[in-house]
Amino acid sequence: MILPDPKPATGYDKDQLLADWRERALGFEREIGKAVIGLDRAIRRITQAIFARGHVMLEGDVGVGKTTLLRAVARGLGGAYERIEGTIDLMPNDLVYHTYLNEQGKPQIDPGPILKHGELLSVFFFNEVNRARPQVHSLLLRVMAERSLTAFNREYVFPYLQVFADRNRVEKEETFEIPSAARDRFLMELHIETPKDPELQRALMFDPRFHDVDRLIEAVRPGILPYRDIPDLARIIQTQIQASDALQRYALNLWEATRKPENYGVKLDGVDTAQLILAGASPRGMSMMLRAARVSAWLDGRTHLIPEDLQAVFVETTAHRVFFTPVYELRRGFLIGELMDGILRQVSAP
Amino acid sequence: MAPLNPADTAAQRPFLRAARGRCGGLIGLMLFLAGSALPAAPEPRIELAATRDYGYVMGDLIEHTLTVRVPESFALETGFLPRPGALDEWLDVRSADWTSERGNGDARYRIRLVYQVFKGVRGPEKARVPALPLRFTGPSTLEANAPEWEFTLMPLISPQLPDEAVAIRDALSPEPIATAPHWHRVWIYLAGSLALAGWLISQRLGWSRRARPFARAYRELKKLLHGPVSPETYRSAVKLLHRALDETAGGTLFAGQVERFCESRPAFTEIREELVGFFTLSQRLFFTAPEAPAPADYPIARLESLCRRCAAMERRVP
Amino acid sequence: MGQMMSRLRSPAWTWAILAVLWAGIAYESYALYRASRDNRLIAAPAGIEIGDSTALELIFAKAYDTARNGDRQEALRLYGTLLHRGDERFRARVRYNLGTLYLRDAAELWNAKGVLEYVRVNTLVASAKENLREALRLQPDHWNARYNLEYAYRITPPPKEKPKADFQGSKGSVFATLPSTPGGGP
Repeated sequence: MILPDPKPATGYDKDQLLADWRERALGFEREIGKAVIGLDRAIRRITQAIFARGHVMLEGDVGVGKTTLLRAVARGLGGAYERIEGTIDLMPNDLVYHTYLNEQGKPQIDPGPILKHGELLSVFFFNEVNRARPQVHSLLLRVMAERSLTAFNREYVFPYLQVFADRNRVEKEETFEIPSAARDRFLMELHIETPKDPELQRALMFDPRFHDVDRLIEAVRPGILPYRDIPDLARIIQTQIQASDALQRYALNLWEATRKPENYGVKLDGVDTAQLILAGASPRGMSMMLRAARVSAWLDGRTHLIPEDLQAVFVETTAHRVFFTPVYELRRGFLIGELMDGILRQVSAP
Repeated sequence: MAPLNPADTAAQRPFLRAARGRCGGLIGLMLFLAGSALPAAPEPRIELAATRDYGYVMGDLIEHTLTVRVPESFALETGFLPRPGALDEWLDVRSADWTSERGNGDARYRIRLVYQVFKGVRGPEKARVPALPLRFTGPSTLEANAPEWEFTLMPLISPQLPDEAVAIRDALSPEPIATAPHWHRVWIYLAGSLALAGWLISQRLGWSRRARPFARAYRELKKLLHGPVSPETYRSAVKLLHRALDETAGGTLFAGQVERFCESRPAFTEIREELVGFFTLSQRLFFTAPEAPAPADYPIARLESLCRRCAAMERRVP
Repeated sequence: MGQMMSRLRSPAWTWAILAVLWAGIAYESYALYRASRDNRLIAAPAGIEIGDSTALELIFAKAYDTARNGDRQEALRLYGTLLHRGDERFRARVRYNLGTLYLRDAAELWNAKGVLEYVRVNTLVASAKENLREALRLQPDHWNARYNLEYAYRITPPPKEKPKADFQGSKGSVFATLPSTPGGGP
């Protein structure tokens, strides 16, 4: 399906378009759900990220299905897929080109993983991103922010690019914490956890279907979501989904509450809330939250945002943008969840 | 030196002439030395002030204030002041304290002495507080005496009464031990602990149960409905009900949480449908169709009755 | 500040304060019980038995009662045990009663025998004066003590010799001022 130029608002029915695409998006979710089980929430968030045109950071234990999930997503989207493993000796150039001696024994330079597919690159998966050095992080930062890269004396543009990064939270040695500026560019930070449902756990252990990852991925119908059309559709979603005054007030209150939780009566055990926050969510973060929330409303078949849309994406889009004072930063893993819950519980709407 | 001046009056001359003849030069020298070479020894100036010097009786206190002025280089030797205790057979020193200030090349001391008289007299009698020696240290040691002080002492027992007729005052009878301060403290402690216990109980029970948010919301709703009903008041009314629900739930309550809310508060189960309806209304009013006119199927009276029913549920909860 | 307030608001502190208050009530109740028991005894001092922990006022009452019943020696002994105990007002009362007790003895003796019992009267009056004077030192406005002290001075037997208080040693020679010695001396 080829979209007409979105600027003239005549010639096609936007509502019908949105409804068609919604069906496709739900179909996409169902297809992914075949390959990975027990990750419905993560699938929904990734779908939202795809249509909000945002990058996603995955975090979780080893072997919970992060890579499988992403491979399935890449297959569902179609387009070129590249992945790279973060290591301590990985350098920015390794992403851009690689040099080798060819069959004739002559040195040759080929484009690296990012450039290999040109502008058709749709999914770039950076595995174990916290093992890479800060130089690599900053390159990634530019690719994510501008969807472009300068190499071989010209600028490469990746209009369909979606970056997924994966952070291993088990090891701490030989890792480089991702700077807050880079974290802020991710739309979402998803925590992937082992399914709690004993039935699913048993299926994962005993169902032979889940033992062969390649077969699993092949079961996903390729290219359900034509990746080339998504940028245009994403723009339409953002313009078509409305936010009322009351909802804007609610969103502003949520934002304010990430900066001054004490003003909203948020109380955490053993924490002086007034001393907790070093920096609240950034304006970019809040605009990203609204983008994701609009997609959420669209996926639910609404044309107006309601508070539940914001709540659905609030934790994933905001938690990684709130920074605690050093005293509390050590207990971040526990406190951040409490704080987000507290804010959602205390900020009222309408 | 004037008499030695050669240009003197004629009347003085015969005498002068005689003196000059034998030892005029010697006298002149002596007078000169006395006048200039010997420095004048610094003399402390002492002033004594007392309230009165008559009408004292046995056991009375006499207060003396001595004001002493010495050159600044001298300091009072306070160890030399009398210590509290018996001064002589009938006079006690009860206290001796002093203050000092310096300035203009002077040191001024104010010494306050309190005596107590223990002299028994048969008729009015003159008595005397002895002179008080003071000592100052400085470039040299300086001694001075505060002047003696005389006063009149009166008897307490009439002089006409013979000794046999005097009635000795009786011994003091024992006093009951005072219980009032104990009672006082008991009441204070009791009041404090009652207040504290009351506070604790109120904390335990929680305010929500007694504050009755729906009852309050209902009162405010009534107040709101006194005026004309505009879309704005309608929204305010919905918000009032929202706040009461939030307060009852102990956090913000959204449409998706109504099920759980009713589960945790069974009293509200019977109006679950009504609550779901309310949330649908609120969503339409504030978010999905904010510009639309107030819905016809949900008049403000329905809001009012919902609030009244909630207040009733709230009362039913123990 | 806010942290302190919230710490004060915590239940542990409230319970601690409550416990202190209750302990105070218990202590005061016990004090009240003792006080009322002692007051009953003071009203009927015959039943007072002196022990190590007997309240001072009870010993006082016992001494007072003993003196009224004529056993002055025992009363003196009991008052004697109280001389350095209790607050100033109590000590003043003890000293006053003790001095008055001595004074009564002395007055009876003086009025009956006069100078004949010079030594005993003198001793008793001296004790009376010492105690009354101490009472006045402790409580200068004790008018009965003043009155009794003045009376003690009145019945002080005249000394056998004139005191040498008026002696003025201003002359250079001792011999020249010896009384009843002709001027110039030996």
